[in-house]
Amino acid sequence: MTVSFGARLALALTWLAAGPLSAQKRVLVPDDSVGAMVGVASRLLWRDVTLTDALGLQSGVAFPVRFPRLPLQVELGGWTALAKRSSRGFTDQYSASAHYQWILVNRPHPNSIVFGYAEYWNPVIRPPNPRTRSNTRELTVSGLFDIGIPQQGIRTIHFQLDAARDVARENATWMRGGASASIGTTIQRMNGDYSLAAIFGAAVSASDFRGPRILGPRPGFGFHSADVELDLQIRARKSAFDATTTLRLAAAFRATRLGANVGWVALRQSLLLL
Amino acid sequence: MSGEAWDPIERDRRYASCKRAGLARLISEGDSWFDYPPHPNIIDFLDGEGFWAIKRFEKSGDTLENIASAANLSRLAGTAQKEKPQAILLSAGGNDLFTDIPEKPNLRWIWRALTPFDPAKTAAEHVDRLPWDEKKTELRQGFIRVIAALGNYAPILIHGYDYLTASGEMALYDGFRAAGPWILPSMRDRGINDPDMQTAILGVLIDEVNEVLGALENTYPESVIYVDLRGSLLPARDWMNEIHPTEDGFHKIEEIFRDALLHRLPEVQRRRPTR
Repeated sequence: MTVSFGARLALALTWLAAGPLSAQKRVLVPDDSVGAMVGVASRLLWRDVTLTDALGLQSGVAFPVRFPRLPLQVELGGWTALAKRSSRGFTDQYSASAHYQWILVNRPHPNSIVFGYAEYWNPVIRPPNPRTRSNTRELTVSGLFDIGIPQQGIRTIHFQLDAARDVARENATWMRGGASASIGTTIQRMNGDYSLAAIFGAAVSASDFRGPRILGPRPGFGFHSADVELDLQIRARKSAFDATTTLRLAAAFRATRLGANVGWVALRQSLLLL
Repeated sequence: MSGEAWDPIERDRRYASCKRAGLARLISEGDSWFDYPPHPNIIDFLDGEGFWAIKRFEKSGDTLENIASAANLSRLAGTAQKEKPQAILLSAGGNDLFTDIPEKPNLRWIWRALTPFDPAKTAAEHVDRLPWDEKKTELRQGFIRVIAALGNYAPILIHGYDYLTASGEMALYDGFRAAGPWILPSMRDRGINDPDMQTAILGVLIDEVNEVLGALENTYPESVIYVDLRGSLLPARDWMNEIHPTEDGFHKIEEIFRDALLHRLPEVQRRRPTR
């Protein structure tokens, strides 16, 4: 969702446009932070598909690159089982992705579209099946929209629409719409700032992913899952970095083909260089 | 994508990104006109212009008395020395009129500036001169402390608000935390119930605050840019509550700040001796 590590660090570009008001150059500046994240979760899920129904490690780094002049944000991610691995389907998963953000409207209510390309590797597939690729590729597009409700004193609700198309293994499509909003407070000290936040999010998704069965007939495109999440977050800013600790409480109500409804808890620590 | 707009740490992350993009640097400090929780404010809109990287220190509810404290000015001066901003934006003084007062726990300081209603008196005569002159002196001294501490680093943009409204409207934060009203209860307690008289009295107060700030610009022309916002907001449309504009209202104000930064600041910078 909107404040997850991946999303927060997902995107970067500088899109230049001529300013109508001045000869001064108008620059739309996205997040170009360099960051890293590590966390443990009571179960590992990816798009509500269970990778490991036990304790798992999540990790990631994000950094901006230019290719050759196109500003991209690169993310490397990992989902690693710390306890038992699944006896059926994928378990560990590693990804590399690159994103390009097209900013449509600048702040204070930013709107943008993000185009992405991702590679996934699943080194462990059980039972072993030579017909199943251990890697796949994906094209993604996301729309990010912020609105506010001033009459209710609600500054920002983040909306995000995601679509992903697997182009190698499943040739399946996944779509998700979600929203999140936060409440929080700040403690300002001479030696640094601290902020406490509670961020509530909800989303619903649809797909024709097979899910953990990997093989078998493709399901019709339809309900995939519905999620609710509550992130309790502590951020601390020092002179050159921002350290964020997030406790996530989440539940997923899933289509039958994905398995039973599940809940999980995750604790993540991320570090952003300012 | 954007993080949580209210979060000062997120604002710092944004500042770092804007600096890396090569944008001109500003420092902002002040009250809810720069940090209004329910909707975007002046600095949020300035940030969206794409011209400036803004290091933000403002906090909703902050007073000039607190902003001009030695510890805070030391922090701001340290940042200004390090960041070398083109200008420092300051929004202050408004909350100093609405601090708590012991003799009227349910009312705000502005009550002290009012005299009991007398139909024979003008709006100006409903202002209690002694406490009001004392308050204006406090404000002037507070601004001078800020100018003395920061004026060497960059020109300081100051403003004296627009004409406040005694609407009795409360502010709602996060959908459930209410604040205010700040003005109408004091007016009523003084027996000033005529909306036209209330408006006229507030006009006197705001005009006199602006006179103080205008005089500071005349006295310190190389360090102060005074932005006159009076008459910018439509009373019936652009005020969210008694002391805060609507989002569109803040956008109007921001355009005045933007024009001052684009067109007046370069002239002041040329006048400044090399420091």
